[in-house]
Amino acid sequence: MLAFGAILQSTVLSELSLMGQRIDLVLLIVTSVALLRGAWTGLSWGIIGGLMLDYLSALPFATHTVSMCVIAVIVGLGLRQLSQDYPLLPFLTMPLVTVTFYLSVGAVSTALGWPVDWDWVFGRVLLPVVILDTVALPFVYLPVYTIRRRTRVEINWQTSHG
Amino acid sequence: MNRLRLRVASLLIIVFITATGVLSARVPQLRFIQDAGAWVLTPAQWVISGPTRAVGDLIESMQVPGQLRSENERLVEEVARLQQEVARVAELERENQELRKYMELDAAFPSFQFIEAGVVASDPSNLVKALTINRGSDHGVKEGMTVLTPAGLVGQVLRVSPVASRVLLVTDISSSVTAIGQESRAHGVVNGERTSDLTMKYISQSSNVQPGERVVTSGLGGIYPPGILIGEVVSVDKKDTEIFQEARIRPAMEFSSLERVLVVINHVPVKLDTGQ
Repeated sequence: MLAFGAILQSTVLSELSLMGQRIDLVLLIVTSVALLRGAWTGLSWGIIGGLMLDYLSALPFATHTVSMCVIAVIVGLGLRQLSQDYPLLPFLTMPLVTVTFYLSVGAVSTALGWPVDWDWVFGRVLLPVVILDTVALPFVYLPVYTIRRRTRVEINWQTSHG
Repeated sequence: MNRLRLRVASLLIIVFITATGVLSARVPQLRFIQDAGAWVLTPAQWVISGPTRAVGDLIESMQVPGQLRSENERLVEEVARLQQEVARVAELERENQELRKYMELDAAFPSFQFIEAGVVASDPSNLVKALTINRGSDHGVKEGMTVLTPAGLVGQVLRVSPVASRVLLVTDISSSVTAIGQESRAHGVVNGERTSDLTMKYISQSSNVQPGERVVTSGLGGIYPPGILIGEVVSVDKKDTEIFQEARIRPAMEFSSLERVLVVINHVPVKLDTGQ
């Protein structure tokens, strides 16, 4: 799913841009998984998703992997607890998740020798990306939620009949 | 006896009709015989042919739906085939135009050896403007090689894997290309911008750069070969208080719609620090 998401992000989704920026599909998948299954599962998905993006990107290797792990931990440990009491919270805090992700990508990339123009990031990139990611989150979260529920029911059924 | 009479009468009638036919063709006064015959026979023809035609039409109309259906099917197939043919011809025409441009490029840069590559993806990150092409080290692509199209400079190969390469576009904010104005011969460095345009920096105040002037790679620094079109000057920012003037450059192509590019495989960037 993550490999498919990374490929979609670099091909089809590049056609759906807002002010030249695109949806971060892999970030949305990792965020959804971390919200539904917690930090550890989110972390493993973050590592795989980040690696996929690093393989496809011109940014220094590990930039996306590190940033995805940061997001998985923050979302899995912090937002997940809160979202059990406030189900709409993930959708409202997605802007914060996106901003954190880009700050992390910028910081890691700069640390690895690829300086980022922060004026450009804050002035041109963040606003359209935050809008796109927030609008797109339900369309990713709900399928991930459905898949998780179905697989859990199946596992429960197999355990009770096995 | 009766039989003989009948035979003679028949013979006479045949002779009469033949004689009438022959004579009426030569003697106009006798044509009334034919006309009289026609006058009698035409209504009979009409009476007989009317129902006959009606029955014929009826039979024909019973056959038509089947024929129409098969005709329609044949025409639908024909239309589909022609549409496919039109699309194929249009694609061939586009390819032909592209190949012509490549030939022009070959003529313009006879010393270059190119390999053609398809653009397979753009960079998944919003923080970098780069492309993935379907040619890598297996095809002779190396890091730092110049990538272009017949329209102009695309960028530089940044990372190479056996079957694919990442190309950093000239519009990326971290990209720098040494450049020269074709008319003013003003030197500068073209950088990627936050917008889709480029900026030519470090232009000497004494240079007379004008909007509309074409800017090409200068070859200084040995990274890009000289003479490749980068774009066109849109505006010039010249202030007396500044050491250098700047020019805004519109790239020679629309990078988001790139499908094919060419990699110059016989120009490897010079590494100045090692003196290669």
